[in-house]
Amino acid sequence: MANTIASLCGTTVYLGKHQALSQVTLAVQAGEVLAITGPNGAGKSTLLRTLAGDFKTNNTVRLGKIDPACTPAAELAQQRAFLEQSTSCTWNFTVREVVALGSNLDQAERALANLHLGSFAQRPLSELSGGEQRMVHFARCLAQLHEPAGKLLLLDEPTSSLDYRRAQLILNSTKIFSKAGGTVVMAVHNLSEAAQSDRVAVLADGRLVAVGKPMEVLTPSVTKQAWGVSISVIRDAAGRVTVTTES
Amino acid sequence: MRTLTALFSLCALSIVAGFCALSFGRDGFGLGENGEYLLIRLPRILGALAAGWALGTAGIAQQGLFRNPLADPGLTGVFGGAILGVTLLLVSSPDFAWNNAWAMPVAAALGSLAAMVLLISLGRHQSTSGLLLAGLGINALTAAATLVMTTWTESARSSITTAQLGSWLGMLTLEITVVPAFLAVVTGALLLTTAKDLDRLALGESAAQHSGTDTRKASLRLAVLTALAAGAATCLCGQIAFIGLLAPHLARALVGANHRWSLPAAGLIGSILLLAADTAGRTLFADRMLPASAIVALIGAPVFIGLARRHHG
Repeated sequence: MANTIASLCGTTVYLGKHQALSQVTLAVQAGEVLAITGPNGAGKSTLLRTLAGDFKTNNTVRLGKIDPACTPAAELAQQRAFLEQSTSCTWNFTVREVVALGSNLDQAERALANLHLGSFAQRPLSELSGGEQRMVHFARCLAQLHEPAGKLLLLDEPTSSLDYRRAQLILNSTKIFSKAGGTVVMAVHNLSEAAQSDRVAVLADGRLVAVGKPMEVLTPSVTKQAWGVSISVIRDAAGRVTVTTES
Repeated sequence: MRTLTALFSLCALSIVAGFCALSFGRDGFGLGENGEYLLIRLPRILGALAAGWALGTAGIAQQGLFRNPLADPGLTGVFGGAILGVTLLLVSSPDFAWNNAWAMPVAAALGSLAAMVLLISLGRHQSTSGLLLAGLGINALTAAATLVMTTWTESARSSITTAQLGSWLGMLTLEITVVPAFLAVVTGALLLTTAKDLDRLALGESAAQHSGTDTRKASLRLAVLTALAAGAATCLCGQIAFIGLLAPHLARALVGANHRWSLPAAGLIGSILLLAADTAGRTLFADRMLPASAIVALIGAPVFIGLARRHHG
């Protein structure tokens, strides 16, 4: 497909002897937000890392026209950014210095302003709370892909450790990023957040259980298959999402 | 602006320190009646400046590479490898070593490179602590091998013991200073080009890779350059471990953590510290010289403890 930004075609990934991904086939289109969800250990982070180019996959993964695992790091960094589940910083950089690591100071300032973090720019990263540091690393990824069109933003549990306002700010930023022509693939546990994305992919035991529109995928039968618990996700006319677990 | 001012101040301070060191001797101020002290003092001053520059830049590069504020060439076995390389040369071909100005720098560089290769192969899948422990093991191994060789070969014992005490600056002549000083300055300067990679490595290897740094190549380049810098410094001053530990901490306190500024600052601080220590060591007492390593440790240890408490306590 002409609009496919990234794809996996029957991709299998081993972490040591453990099969973390098994025969996963998935394509991500330009301008969409895809949420990856599933229980702990389902392979969500491995899938993101595979798209990021961390694993050799016998050429079954494409990022545009390239195999990310065989592309030089500098070139790859122009095409995709990756917010990992946790990132620490050894030295006491300022917030602006950290955000500029993937780009330059101008882009860093712009990304910080977009996330209402401009007043943090000169502060040492270590003085910020965990959630604030998470926002700073998200800003770093946005600065890295300052021209979103045709780029891939990979986010591993981006809203974990964030308060509701900042979590919503990140979700809104992903929508802005996708409207500008970029693609977002994010691993999330919160199904009401997953329901806000364009499509949802559900993983369990390294296998793709279902993929499609949120309300088509997040059904009790799929959630029962993935989590072993039947979960109802309901969206009302106003777009409000309610998640209930059936005992 | 503040960082630029700090860097210019350090440059000015190192030049002033150089002139002071050139003028001060045990007999007081001056270069002698016919300037005879110039040729005696100039090599050790150039040697101290170059070695300090190399040790400062290599120290901050190693701390960045291993993401550990306690890493320095002394701790990771690189100095031990350099001394062992020089020992092997002095034991096997002493005449060749003393008659060819390039021989010892090459031997030291090969020794430190071998230590670095061993360190990386032992610590590839280890944590940072594991890597540093491997470095400590290599240090012990190289020290033992050096001791065994010098025990059996009396001719090299005095030179090597002087090197291990960090007292080689006093033995420098202009002829034997040029090659290692050039190597020290050039490798230190090349380390400045790794600033962006070192900044990104602070986020961890994975995040650095995702931000655009080829971490394998960057680590290899850093390992080779720090080994060469430490090897060159060893040929100039012997084993002075404290500079590589202290200069990076002082640099970060002065200009911040960004390696674009802290790398050159650490090099300049290393130069000033080593030159000041050497000058103090040769002028404080009229009847004896103190090795620069002792002075560095005496000045540096309290400052380092204070810094460590402030930054890591």
